[in-house]
Amino acid sequence: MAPEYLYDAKNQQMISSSINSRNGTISLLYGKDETLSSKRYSEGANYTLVTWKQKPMPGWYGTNMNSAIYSVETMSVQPGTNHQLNLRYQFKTGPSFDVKNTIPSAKERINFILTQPKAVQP
Amino acid sequence: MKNVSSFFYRRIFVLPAIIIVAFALLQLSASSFKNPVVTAEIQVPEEIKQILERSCYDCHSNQSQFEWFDKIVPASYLVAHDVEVGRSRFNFSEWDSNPPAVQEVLLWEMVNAIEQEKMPLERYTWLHPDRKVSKAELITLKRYVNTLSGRHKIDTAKIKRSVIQPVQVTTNHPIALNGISYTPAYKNWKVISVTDKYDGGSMRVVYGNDIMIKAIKEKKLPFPDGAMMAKLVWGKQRVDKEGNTFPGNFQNVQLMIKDSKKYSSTEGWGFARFDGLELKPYGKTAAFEKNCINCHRLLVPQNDFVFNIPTKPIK
Repeated sequence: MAPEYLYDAKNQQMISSSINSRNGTISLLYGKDETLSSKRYSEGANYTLVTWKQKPMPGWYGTNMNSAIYSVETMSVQPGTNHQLNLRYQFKTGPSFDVKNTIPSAKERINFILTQPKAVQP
Repeated sequence: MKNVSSFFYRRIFVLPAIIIVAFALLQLSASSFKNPVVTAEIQVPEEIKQILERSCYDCHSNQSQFEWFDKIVPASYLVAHDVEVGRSRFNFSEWDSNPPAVQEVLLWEMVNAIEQEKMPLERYTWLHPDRKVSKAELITLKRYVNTLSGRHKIDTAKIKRSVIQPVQVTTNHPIALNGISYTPAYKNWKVISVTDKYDGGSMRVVYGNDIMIKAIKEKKLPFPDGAMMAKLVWGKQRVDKEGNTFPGNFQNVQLMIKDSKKYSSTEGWGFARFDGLELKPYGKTAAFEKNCINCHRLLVPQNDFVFNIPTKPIK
């Protein structure tokens, strides 16, 4: 078993998953649960986007699954001056991030986090 | 002296004679090897058909070919048993008894069973070495399953977000036919894996409760009683211009609950599946769990019968 592939999102809950076949990655977007029902871009909101490299599932040809963590992106919306909101975004590389890989533009990633629809969960 | 030797000779001849007669009589009890009627044979390209016929049909069809040595008691009992079990799992001669989606899952399962050398059974290929599936044939089979419709299924339907509630809102959770109740508690568990199940066009997120997470962290197998998993399954939407695929409609939630005593007949795991936003319990009878465990038992016994745990890639 490889417990190092687990990511503990603490008090955040899953918003949605996504697969990127071009990069061979698979991601989960987490958010603080009280913000899940309100607007994505609101004061106090916190998000974590965890991305893993994909690998074939041992035991089942026909499924790819997460392997080592590629990156952990965090974003928070905080009160700023003059009733403006401050947006903080950070990209941290994980063990499967290669030096040859490029770090995507923050603007692109913030947009990705803010616009990703919530997956339907019963 | 003479008496002793005649007694001795008598034993030498009589004993084998008794054994031979007994063996011959035993053959009369041999189970009759019958091939039931072929009702709907599987329709696949000729090169696939040839592999299935040679390597699988003896146990998984009504067109079994038996060698003379298959019919010798007591070996014949084992052969009869294997054929009976094989036909009950899936039968290429009664292929339409499975819904189309199940047919595809079975074909992927076969590829996996062959790849992991679980099938054809070793005790069968030992006496029938020509029935083995070669590496080249496995590649042919893999190429074939990748052409099946589920492989490229895209969920283009408008995403349904809630069920129209009946007038009387009940607080009771749906219960599967084997008594396992749905629980929304998984929402507070931790995710143990995220998957792209491209064979059937779905994507999944698997949660584990605290007991499950602790066991994974301690690399403890088998999983302890009380370990629970919930797998959420969605369709896959069309790939966008950045190469991203997002979840489409919610398909089902599947539970696995460890209780080594209560679920001893299914390797200690209780299985349940709830379909659609209505969370309709899956299965027509409580025997649905046999379908679950048959595949888990065949392919992942080394992981305590769990597919979705984080594991290192196999080199």
